[in-house]
Amino acid sequence: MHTRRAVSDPAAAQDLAAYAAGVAEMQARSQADPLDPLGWEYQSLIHGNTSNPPTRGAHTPTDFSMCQHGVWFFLPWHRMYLVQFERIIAAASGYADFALPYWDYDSLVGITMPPAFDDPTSALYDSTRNFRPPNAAPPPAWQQAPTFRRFGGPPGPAVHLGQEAGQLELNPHNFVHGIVGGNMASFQSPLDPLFWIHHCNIDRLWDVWAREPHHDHPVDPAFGNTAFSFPDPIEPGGRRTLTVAEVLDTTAIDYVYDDRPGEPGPTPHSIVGMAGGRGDDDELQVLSSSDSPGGVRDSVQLAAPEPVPGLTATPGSGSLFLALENVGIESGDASSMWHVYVTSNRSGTRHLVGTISPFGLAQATATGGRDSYLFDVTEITEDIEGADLDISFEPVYDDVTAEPFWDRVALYRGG
Amino acid sequence: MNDLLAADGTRLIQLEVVATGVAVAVGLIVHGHDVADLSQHGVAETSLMAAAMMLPVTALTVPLVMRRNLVERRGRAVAEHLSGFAVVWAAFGLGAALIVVWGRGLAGAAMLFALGCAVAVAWQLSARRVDLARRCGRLRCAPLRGWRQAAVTVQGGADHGTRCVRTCGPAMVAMLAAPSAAAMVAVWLASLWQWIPGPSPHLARGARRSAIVYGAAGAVVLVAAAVPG
Repeated sequence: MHTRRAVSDPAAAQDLAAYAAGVAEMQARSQADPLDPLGWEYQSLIHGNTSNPPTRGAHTPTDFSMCQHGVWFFLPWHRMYLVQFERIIAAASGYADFALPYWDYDSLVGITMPPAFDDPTSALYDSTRNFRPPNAAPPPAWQQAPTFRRFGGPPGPAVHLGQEAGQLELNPHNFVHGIVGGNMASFQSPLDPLFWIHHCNIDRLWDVWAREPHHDHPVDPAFGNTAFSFPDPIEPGGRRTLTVAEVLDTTAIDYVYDDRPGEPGPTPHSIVGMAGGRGDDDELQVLSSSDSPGGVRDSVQLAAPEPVPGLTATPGSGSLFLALENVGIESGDASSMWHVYVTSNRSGTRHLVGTISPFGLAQATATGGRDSYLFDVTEITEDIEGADLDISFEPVYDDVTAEPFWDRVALYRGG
Repeated sequence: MNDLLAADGTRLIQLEVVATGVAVAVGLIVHGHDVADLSQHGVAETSLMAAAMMLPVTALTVPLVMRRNLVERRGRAVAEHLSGFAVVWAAFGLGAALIVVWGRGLAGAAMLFALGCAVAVAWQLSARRVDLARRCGRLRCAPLRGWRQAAVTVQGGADHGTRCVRTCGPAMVAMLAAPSAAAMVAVWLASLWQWIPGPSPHLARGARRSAIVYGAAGAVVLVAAAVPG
């Protein structure tokens, strides 16, 4: 059983050294043969590339551009991807006990680059980065997500670019991709060694969420029985196939996190204020919406909803979500981020409720797809429910030029 | 369709089986063993049949229509969505029936069916079709009130129907051109088979499976027609 440790933990030093050695070996393989399935470039292409629309390799059409986003396979597919990567690094580095460290950022505002990844002489360095911690960040709503649909993404077929990200994918996953920039801001993000420790933390947060009471995984066989196949350095035939059901418990695939010594853990590392579930919120009711399509240069007004006795859910019950529906963008990458603010006419307080980080959105838009962003605003229910709302947007960075647009902005209540 | 299918791929198949079973039963009662012969049905009846057989697909988009509309207007919004969808498929059925009647007169039933299957095979294997299948259920967001709410919702149903026609139309034409009930059922079953959830990338794999059946069905009918007696 491997233990994945925080990258800042001195006990992770041997893993970091093995990681650097393994990356160097994988990069050398790609230099010799770009189609080596255990090479650095091939592994990155399994995730995706930057072309619009995403293309598949001519030699192995089922391998490339297979990362799952905006759908319930986002978390299990990336878990499998990391497990396989760990096996490749262990074999390449010669360190059989290698466990991928996780990037233990406490807060995105205070996020720092791990020193081992900031050394230009190291294989863990990536010169394309444009690392910029933001001045503000919305609260991490994944902690309050009561269902897997809200937490991890909606049901759907295995798809490279889905239509609606779960709360964890929105923040911090997409946000960190944008904060780092460069390769990390596109679907060729695995070219940056930071990608793997970032996703290791995302995987850890999934483990944290799943250990909470009443946080259950979908029982639908379309979820658990879906399988994905990856190159493997050990298995006969050089391939390993895993089903989603096989990876829902990390101990079944031979690893735990350092804050989980085999038992349900104490307050997880760096996470405070875990809220209990509020029940199944899949029964959404729209309360109010904008009247026409718009974009981030527009200020949107949502009038106070008119409740219908006997039909509309009781005010104050359930969750509240602010939805940006059918969002597209013509250009830009994950670093083209925009903060979303809600101001009610009740208090005049301006709340930062979410961030649009268009990771993969330009590629989706190019093929006629759109994403919807659901921001959990339940924490400010008292201020916004029954009030007229002003929705406004600000770029996270001054040099952002790409501007998302949408069909509609709407306020929803969950059950 | 990715927000609605996959987990619901099985449900779509179940609904299609019921809807088509009812349509076939009615057809058998009315037309007996000539149920597959469109010249017996007439163009109008074929148009209605196409719309009826494809209506179960809207069971996957209706929940999204309901979610995006005010509680007190959900019923009306669903009716608006269905009307846009049904009009498109009825128009498709009309056009397909005319093609079949004309084509049979020109090339014969067996050759027409084989040609239809060949077109369906080529379309099934295209990457463009797989992409369309993934985005089949994308719906516009309408305002909550006013005439634009109805207009955008009806348009959304029509858009969905149009994407549906683009995804499955060639196979549907082949099915309508089938010279026998057995050939019609083979194409119909193959069309359902592709939606069964499976290993990734399941949409592409499903499309290939169906293409094999379309090709086999066309070849069998063509060979059978060429055999003397």
